[in-house]
Amino acid sequence: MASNDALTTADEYQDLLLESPGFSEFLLGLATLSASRLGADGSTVECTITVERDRAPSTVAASSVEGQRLDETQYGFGSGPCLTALRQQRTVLIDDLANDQRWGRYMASIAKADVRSVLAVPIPTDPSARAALNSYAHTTHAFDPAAVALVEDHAASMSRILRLALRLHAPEVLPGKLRAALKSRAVVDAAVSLVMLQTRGGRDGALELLQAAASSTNRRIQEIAREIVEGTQLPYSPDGSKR
Amino acid sequence: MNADWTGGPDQLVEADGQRRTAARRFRDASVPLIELWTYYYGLGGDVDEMSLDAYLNEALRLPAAQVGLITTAMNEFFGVDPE
Repeated sequence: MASNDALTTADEYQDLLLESPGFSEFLLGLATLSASRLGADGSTVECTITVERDRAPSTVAASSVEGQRLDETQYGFGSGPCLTALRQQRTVLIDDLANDQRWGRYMASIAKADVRSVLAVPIPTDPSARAALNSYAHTTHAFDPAAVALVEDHAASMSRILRLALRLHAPEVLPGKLRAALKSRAVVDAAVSLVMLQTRGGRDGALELLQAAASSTNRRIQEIAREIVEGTQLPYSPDGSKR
Repeated sequence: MNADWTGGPDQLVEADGQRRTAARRFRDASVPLIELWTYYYGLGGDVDEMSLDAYLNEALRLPAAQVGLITTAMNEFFGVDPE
């Protein structure tokens, strides 16, 4: 029976990965799945998953708005149980938030939230990333040793699919604007090369030709270049008339 | 503008006027230099960021082809100059 469950879980994880367009959607699915699994005995548990990657901003996914807010509060203070679990890769358990002295300012700021106990466990990943699963419950002492073991097992079960997701959705090396510029440049360079070949001319002449074509038709250089590369637009002669 | 670019005194005056206009447009747009340079690079621009900075501070002259690309970059990035 247990092996059947494990199989179902693996399938669910794989379906989730296949169906998620991006990493944040995948993580959200994982957080939701965790909340429904860990709260299966009737008690409500909010789950969040935090992932920190080298050269990329951290990603937080929450099964509820409240969980999201609790996690963001920790980021605001730069400390908290989940960040400790994430950075030190060890389980952190708070049985009663009202009587815990470890994260004073964080505790004070979430005192209004209807959360009484917190369990944060690391999810093993590749060396380039760190991840943790955080569970919030509305009662004190919600996580007894058996529950802690269950959550730890659940976190461990997500390790492989999370590592696959990290590979599949590798962080973008370049931010959007730079990537757009690089793409534009590649198209312009290709068009310039074609024009040079067709006119047996130099680079400057080809660039001037592109500019003349763009300004005479009141369009962007990038559009003209793309049409030239795609072969839908024949290069203009230097006086602006079509060949 | 003469089709035959000789670099004579008249052309120099014209190029400097063009440069002054470019410098004014850049100041008015208050866009970070790196953003304009990145856009100009995307259009096929070849001079480095520091040279573009010098050009826009009227401290450096650039080849006509680059000047054309800088003007085009500004037109596409800031919108066409009303003047």
